[in-house]
Amino acid sequence: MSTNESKIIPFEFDSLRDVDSCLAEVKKLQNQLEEERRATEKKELIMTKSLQESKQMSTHLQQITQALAKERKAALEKSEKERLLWKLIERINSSFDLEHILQSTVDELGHYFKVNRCGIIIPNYKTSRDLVREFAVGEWKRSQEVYSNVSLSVLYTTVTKSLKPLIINDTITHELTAGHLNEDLRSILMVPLLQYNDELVGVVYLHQCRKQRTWSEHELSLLQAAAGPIATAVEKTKLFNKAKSWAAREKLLNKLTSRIRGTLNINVILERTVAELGQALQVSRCFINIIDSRTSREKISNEYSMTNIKPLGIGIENPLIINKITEKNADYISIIDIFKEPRLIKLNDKEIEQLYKTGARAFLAVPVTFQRKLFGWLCFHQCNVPRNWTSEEIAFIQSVASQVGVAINQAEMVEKLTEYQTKLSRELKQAAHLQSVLLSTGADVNKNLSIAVSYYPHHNVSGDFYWLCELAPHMVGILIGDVSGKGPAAALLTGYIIGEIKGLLENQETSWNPEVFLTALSNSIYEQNQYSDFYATAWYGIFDIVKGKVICSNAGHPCPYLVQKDSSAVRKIPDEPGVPIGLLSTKDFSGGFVRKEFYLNPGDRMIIFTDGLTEQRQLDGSFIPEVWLREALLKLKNYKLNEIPEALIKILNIVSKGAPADDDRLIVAVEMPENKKITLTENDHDIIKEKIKFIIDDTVNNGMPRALEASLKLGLLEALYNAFRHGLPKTPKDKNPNIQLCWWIRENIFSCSIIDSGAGFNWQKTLKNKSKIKDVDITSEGGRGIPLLLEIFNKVSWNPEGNELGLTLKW
Amino acid sequence: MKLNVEDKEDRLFVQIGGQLLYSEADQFKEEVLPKIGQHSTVTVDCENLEFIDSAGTGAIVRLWKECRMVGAELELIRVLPEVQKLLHMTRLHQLAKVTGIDEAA
Repeated sequence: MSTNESKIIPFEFDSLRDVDSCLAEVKKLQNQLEEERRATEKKELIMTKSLQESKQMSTHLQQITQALAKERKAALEKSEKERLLWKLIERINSSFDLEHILQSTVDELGHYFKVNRCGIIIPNYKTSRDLVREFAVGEWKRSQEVYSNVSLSVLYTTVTKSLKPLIINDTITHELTAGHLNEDLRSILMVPLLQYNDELVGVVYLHQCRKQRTWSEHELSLLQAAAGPIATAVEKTKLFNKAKSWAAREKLLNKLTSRIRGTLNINVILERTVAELGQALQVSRCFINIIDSRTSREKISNEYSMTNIKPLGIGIENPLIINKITEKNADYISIIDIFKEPRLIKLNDKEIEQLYKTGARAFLAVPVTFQRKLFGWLCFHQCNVPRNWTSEEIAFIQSVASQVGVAINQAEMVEKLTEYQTKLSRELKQAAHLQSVLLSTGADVNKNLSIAVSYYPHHNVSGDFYWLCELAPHMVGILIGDVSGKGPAAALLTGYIIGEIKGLLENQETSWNPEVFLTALSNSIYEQNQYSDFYATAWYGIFDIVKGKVICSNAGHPCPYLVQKDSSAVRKIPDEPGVPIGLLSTKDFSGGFVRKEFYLNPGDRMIIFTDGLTEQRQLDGSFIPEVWLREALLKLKNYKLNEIPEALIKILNIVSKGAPADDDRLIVAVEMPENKKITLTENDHDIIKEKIKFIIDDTVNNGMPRALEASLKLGLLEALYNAFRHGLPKTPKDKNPNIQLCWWIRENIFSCSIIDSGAGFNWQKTLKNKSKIKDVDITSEGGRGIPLLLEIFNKVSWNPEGNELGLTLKW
Repeated sequence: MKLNVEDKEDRLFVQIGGQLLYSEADQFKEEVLPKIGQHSTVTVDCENLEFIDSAGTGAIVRLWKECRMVGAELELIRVLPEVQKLLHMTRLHQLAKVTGIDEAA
């Protein structure tokens, strides 16, 4: 490296004293110059080297700068991409509305890429209605009808088949578009939207119009990068919509199920089903073809149709095409498009015509079954357009059909049950009536004893029973009982017991002896109890009105109460309740039923009842102490007898504070009456005639027609003469011979009892031989007395001994 | 009971009044039966017979038996309805000719 700079070498002239010294000095200078030159050369060399290094460094720096710029650009592009993607993702994530997502995406991309158009196509293979959203600017905006057809284009097909981007920088020269495009579309970039498994979700495209545009790698990569989140978002919304749809259907199914189960009326069930399903599935028609189980014919039972669709009509026989085109054991029949349905060849022209007339284009039928029983078909019509019935829809309808099947079966069962219940209720009413008749038959006797009864069955039919029996005009038997349990079974046993009672009452050996009566009844029920476990409590008492005597026996029944006329006390009659009847064989319990006797004065009252009166619970569940009854009877002492039972029930309702009755309630109140009585001690004909006249006058005064006067006179004469002729002579020595005659006139009935002090006679044998006057030998001078009695009176009865005669005459 | 027995040639005519009861039956038999002789007819006029009981009917049966023994016919005439009713009830009209008070003899 050369330099023009000069250097001054110092020279001292004082030292030039000679030549040598001059030469030495010159030489010295030369050496110095040489050193200087060498140093310069060295410097130059270093400089040159340094320059070279600088050059190299500069080149390197330039390279670094370039690399840095490239990196910066890449980073910038990356951040742009990321920014775009984030922005897209942010928008996409803000919504589950697919259309909204697509619109915001195309808007974003369109703006970003500064293109004339940006669009997304989401194909719908099931409905063939693709979802297309497009962004466009200015004059390049197109109507939806136009851009909806994009999916039909070759370009779209190319992308969806290849699943690769389609880059057309210039449509004029590109092989796919050259000469095919009408509009001024110059550049197209189309990228498939793929899921992670390369499954096609849709396509996104960019259009540049009029001016050609070369799509850069960056733009392609950016669009491809955007395609990922878009595809995910579309799938996400699809899944969301699917879940939403499932949820809605589940909700609808629940709603339908609850509505279906909300009624047991088949018609209401079917009506609701077709309406709800029709609306939910947006079908043209939804109807139910019900199969008549008797005729096996199908009829439309219920129908829903859209407002613009003509209904097929309720009740119309609609065999449809089900039976002809259905496969065996088909779960459903679906036809997407009737015009393209191959199975229709199985139908004849008329049937096809009928089918076409319905206007249905698509058809779906799902069987309504329950436990393999086919009730009918749930049918759907889509009119005018085909419809691809989705598996979700079919599964949903099948769920509904299954519910409907259950509901129909349930409703049918309920219908049968209701019918049965109605029948049962009717029969129970009849049974109640019958029971009432049975009981009232027992109650409809000439009761010379004052009796008042209140009977409150807990159900239609009751397990409580009572029976009043006039053993003789002055002897009234009262049976009251309570069969274990309530309702029909108890009532049936009651009926059985009443039947048994009738038989036992006809037999004087039992009817006149309470303990024997209960024993016989118990044994009879016990025999029946081999087939059941019923039992009954019972109380049977015989009231002798003439003597005021009561003989009774108790089989586990509540003891009656006694209210004495001349006493302020109310007491329980200690009648030693025994074992309930039917529970044990009388052979199995020692002692049997105890016979008790006591006397009542005229005006004394007895209250006989079932445990429904004393075992009543209060609202808190505790039993009302029985003391209430004693207090109530005291309070009601001055009430008329026939007011007592009702008044007792009223008091009980007050005491129980309105608690519902726990059991049947039966109350029988009895009052010992005052009697019309005469006593005859000797066979004085005039006195007899006089007394008879007195009785007859009394009877006539009490309403007996005069026409019966002679008959009554003859009857009383015969009876009294018999008593005098056959009764008195057999009077035991320790007794005073006498005849007591008591009579009662009640409700057009005269009755009397003639009781003699004799030992009685075998009236059974007498009656066996000649119970009717026509049986008496016409030439016989005697033996007409008893047949005449039987001829004159409506009822003639003796006590078992034959010394108490009862006569009854009705008019 | 009022009783009047008249012998009219071959007819024994018995008039009875009041009541023929158990208490009168014996008296009736005692007073009438011995008077039956060679009569072809025994007529009991019941116009005043107010009442009769089984013992009374027994007495009439006895009377019929006595008549039959002598070959006489028994007739009960002018019988009051109440009495006639009993006679029919006891079928005595099958033994004796019974004519009501309103009927021609």
